[in-house]
Amino acid sequence: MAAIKRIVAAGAFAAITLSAPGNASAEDYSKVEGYIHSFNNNVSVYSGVFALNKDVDLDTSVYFKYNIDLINPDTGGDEGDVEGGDDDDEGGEDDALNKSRAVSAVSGASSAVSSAGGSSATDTRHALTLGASRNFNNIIGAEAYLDYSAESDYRSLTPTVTLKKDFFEKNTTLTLGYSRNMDTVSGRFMDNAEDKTVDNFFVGVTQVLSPFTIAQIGYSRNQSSGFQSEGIRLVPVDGVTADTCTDETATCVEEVFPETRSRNAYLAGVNHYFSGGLLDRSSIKLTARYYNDDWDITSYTGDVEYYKYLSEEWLLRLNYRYYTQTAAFFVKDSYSSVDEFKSSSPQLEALDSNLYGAKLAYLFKEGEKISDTVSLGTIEGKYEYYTETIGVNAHIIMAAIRLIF
Amino acid sequence: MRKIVYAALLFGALAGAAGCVNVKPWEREYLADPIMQSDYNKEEKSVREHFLGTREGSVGSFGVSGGGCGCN
Repeated sequence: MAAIKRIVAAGAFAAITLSAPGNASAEDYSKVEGYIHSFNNNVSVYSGVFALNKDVDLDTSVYFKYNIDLINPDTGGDEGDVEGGDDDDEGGEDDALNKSRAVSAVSGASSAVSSAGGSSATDTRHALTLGASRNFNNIIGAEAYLDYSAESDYRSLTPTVTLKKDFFEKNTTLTLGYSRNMDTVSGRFMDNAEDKTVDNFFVGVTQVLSPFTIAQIGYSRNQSSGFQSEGIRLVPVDGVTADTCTDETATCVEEVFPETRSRNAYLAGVNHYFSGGLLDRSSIKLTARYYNDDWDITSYTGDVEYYKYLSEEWLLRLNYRYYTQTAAFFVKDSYSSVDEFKSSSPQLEALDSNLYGAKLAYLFKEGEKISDTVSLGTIEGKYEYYTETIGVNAHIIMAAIRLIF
Repeated sequence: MRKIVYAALLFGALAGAAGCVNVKPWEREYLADPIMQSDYNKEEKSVREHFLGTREGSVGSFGVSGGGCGCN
C-alpha cells in the first residue's frame, strides 16, 4: 500500500503543478490513475498513470503520459529476487506454474519468471509516451507518438504515425496507421541481449449510420522478426518435471520460438445511443474481433460495454469481454531436447478468458475549482474480475481523477 | 479465402453506407456524447490493452485509433 500512496501522491502533485495556465480549452486535461492487479497466488501489480493533454493552438495539441508498474510478489507468498537466486519450489508444480503465469502479467517481460520454481521477483516497468496531433486545414488529421518503456530485462521504443481523413461531410472517417517496435530482450536465461523488430500497419473506417449509431471496422497487420521469446522461462525436456526445472541444465532449457511471426486482426464494432424510454441517456458498444497468425493461433473476442447516466453527475459503466484462442503449433505437454521449438509460455497455450467489470464516475459539471486555473473534472473508480481457464484469475481495482484547466 | 471474403463484405457494407448516410452536424448531439467515443478514456484503455497483451497470445486491432463520429 505504501507504493500505491507514493504513486498517487506523486501523480496528484504532478497533475496540479504541470497544469500550468495557458490556452484554456475544454481539451486541456491531466489525469492520474492508480491500479491494482491482484492475482491468485499472492502476486500483485501496482500501477500508476499520469497523463497530460494540452492544446497548443486551435489545430495542435500535445500529449504526455508516464506509466509505472511495480510487480510485487512478496505480499504473503514466496520470496525471491530479480536475479533469481535460490528458488523455493515448495509450492509444488501447479502452484509454481500458476505463480509464474501470474507474475508475467502487466510487465511484458518480468525478470525472474521460470516455467516452474516457486519463487518470482519484484520488478519495475517505466513507460513514457510523447505525442502530438494536428489538423491540416480541417481536412487531414495527423498524430505522431513515441513510446518508450524499460524494465530490468526488456526495452522497447515505438514510434507511431496515424493519418485521418474525413469524407462525406464528416460522416466517414478513414484512419491509416503505422508503428515500429524496436525492442531489446535480455532475459535472465539469455547469454546476450537480442533484438526484436515489429512492424504494425492498420487501417480503419468509422461510419456514422444515424444520429444514434456509429459503426467501425478495422484491420491490422503485424510483422515481427528477431528474438520472439522473452528469455525468462525454462522448459523441462526429456522427462524432467517442471517443479525441478529452476536452473538452466541439459534437461532444463531456454524457450525456443520461431524467429518470425505474422499476425492479422480484423475488428468490427457498433456504438448505439439510447434516447428516451427505460434506457434513456445510455449507450452500448459491441465489438467483435477475429485474429490469426502463422504460429496457428486463432482467437475470437467479443466485447460489450454499457454506459448509463444515472443522473447529471453519476455515470455507470458495465462491461464484459470474452476471449478464446487456440494454441501455437509447437505447444506440447512435454518436449524432447531434439524438438526445434519449445515453449512454457502460457500466452501460447489454448485458453479462454472472461473479464467482468463495473465502473462508476462522478462528473463535476460545473468544474469544482481547486486553484485559479485547475478544476476537478471527473473522479472514477472501477472493479473488474479477470479469469482464465488455465488457472489464473485477477481482481483489478482502479481509481482515477481527471483535472481540467 | 473465406476470411478475405468476410472482410471485403464488411468493408463493402460500410462503403455502401458511406454513400447513403448523411447525418448533418446539428443532428450529432448524441454522437458527440463522450460515452459514444471509441477512445473515451484512452489511458484506461491503454492499461487494459497492455494487461491483456501480456496475458493472451494475440495483439493488435483492439480498436481503430482515433476513430470518432466526425463531430469535431
